Amino acid sequence: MIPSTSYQDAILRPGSSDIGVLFAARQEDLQKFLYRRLAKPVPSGTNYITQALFEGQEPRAPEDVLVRLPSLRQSKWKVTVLQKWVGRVEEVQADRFSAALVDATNSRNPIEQVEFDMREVSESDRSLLAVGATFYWSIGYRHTPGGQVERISSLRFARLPRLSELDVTRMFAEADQLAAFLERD
Amino acid sequence: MSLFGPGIGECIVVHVGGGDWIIVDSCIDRSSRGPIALKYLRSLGVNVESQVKLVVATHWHDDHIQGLAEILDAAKSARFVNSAAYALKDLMRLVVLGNAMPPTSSATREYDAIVKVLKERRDASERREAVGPIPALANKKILAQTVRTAACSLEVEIYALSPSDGVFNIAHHIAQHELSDAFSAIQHGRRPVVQGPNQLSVVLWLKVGALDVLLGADLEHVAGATEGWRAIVHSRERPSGKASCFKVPHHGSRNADCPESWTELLSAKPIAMLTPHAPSGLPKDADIARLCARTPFVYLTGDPARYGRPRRDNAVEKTLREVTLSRRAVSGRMGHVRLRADAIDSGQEPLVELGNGAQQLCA
Repeated sequence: MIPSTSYQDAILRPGSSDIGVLFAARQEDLQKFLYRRLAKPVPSGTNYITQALFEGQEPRAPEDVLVRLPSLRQSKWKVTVLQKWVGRVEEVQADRFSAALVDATNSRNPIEQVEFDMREVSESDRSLLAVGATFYWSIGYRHTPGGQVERISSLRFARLPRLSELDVTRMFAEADQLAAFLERD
Repeated sequence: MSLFGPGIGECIVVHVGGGDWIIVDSCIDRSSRGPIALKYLRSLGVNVESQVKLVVATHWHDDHIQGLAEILDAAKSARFVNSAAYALKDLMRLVVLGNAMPPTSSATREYDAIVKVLKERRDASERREAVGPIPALANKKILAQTVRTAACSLEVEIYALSPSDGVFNIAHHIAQHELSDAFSAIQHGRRPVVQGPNQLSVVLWLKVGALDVLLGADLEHVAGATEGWRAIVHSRERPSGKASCFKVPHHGSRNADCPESWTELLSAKPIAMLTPHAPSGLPKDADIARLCARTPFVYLTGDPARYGRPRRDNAVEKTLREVTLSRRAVSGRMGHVRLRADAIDSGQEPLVELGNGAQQLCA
């Protein structure tokens, strides 16, 4: 299995259906990348851009441009995940934050309230840490190509899509239409 | 009447006579992974499809609505009741904004699913009055029926006591503020978190024969008389009588306690029942002491201090100890307080049964 792969300006999640990534054309907007949901998950190891276009994910505005990312190759690092949670940040203090954790490995387990040291959050994710933010926490073992085994704890914050005013206007129009239908006697 | 609470969430199920039931709010039973109300009613042999008449969402907070869409989908004969303070258009806009930010909150997901159920029924040419959403507003009668048996007939009336007119009048501004916050969150790539004030909650008054029951939702107490509990206490249009059973509002918190409600709306030493909200530590010791000073009959669905943490793989446990500063379970067993009372003979002593860790306080 290929693990989630971080690039300098994008995150790819092979095997997931929400890896469509488009970048704004302007150099100063490179940080504002977008995610697009594909019709079906991209198979591991396929060329990402080719697949995205194959699924009909055309750029929707002239200023959007596809950035060609390297093809993914099978990683020699193996990860065995023992436990996964989905967390939601409830409170942020200067040196720590608390969150509600929902067990994604065993849904029968209770929700837990957990406090983390701020240093558990990687620098690249710090800007995403806010009340209401979603993160994914995994604990497991990483097997190196040299045969070493390391216990790992990976805490990654979700990157959410940024909607344009046009997106919101369109969504509100649909919402208003449905509300009007339900309000009719 | 049954009150369920697993530490986060609550659900009330009431038999209103003649085999008819109502469900107020919902929470999920972890063992069956479904709404506790459906599990409970089916265990009693109730035909949910035909015997549930009302499904009420008191307000759109995550801890009150989980599983409500599944309930409504199963309860084909039920009308859906919603706070009038949530204008449908505003609520729908909040839902679409929330849906744009996966993973969605329970409130957003549930309302989206409820709307789909309602739309299916409206598409089948059912009228709004027969399906909902029925907007609940102070002193509005939302159910009236006469149950006739061989021995007697029983009058059943259910009223909403809130949201008050005062809250209704400012509700649009509240919604606009929420929408503005949600939009701002989205602009910054964050999920909207604001879920509206507790003052939008639907408080219910149930008259079932000789019994009066007050279900307090999460309504809070404020100084003015245009909203909160004082708006109910000072209303001239509310149903007369005093309730002998009280679902204590907002998990017994101090900011939901209105002394006048105990003297004006409740009989002496009523049965008071409540659910804990483990994340916020409610009810606190002071809340329990205050409740016990008002009535000796206080029942809590569970004690979060006794919720056990799950035991996991040794490597996971070791990492948990190394990485976290503190850790506690905030949900536990589905506590159950059940009140059985005679709706015809008010002189009969009510019977309170406790299950799954529910307990009597003030003993």
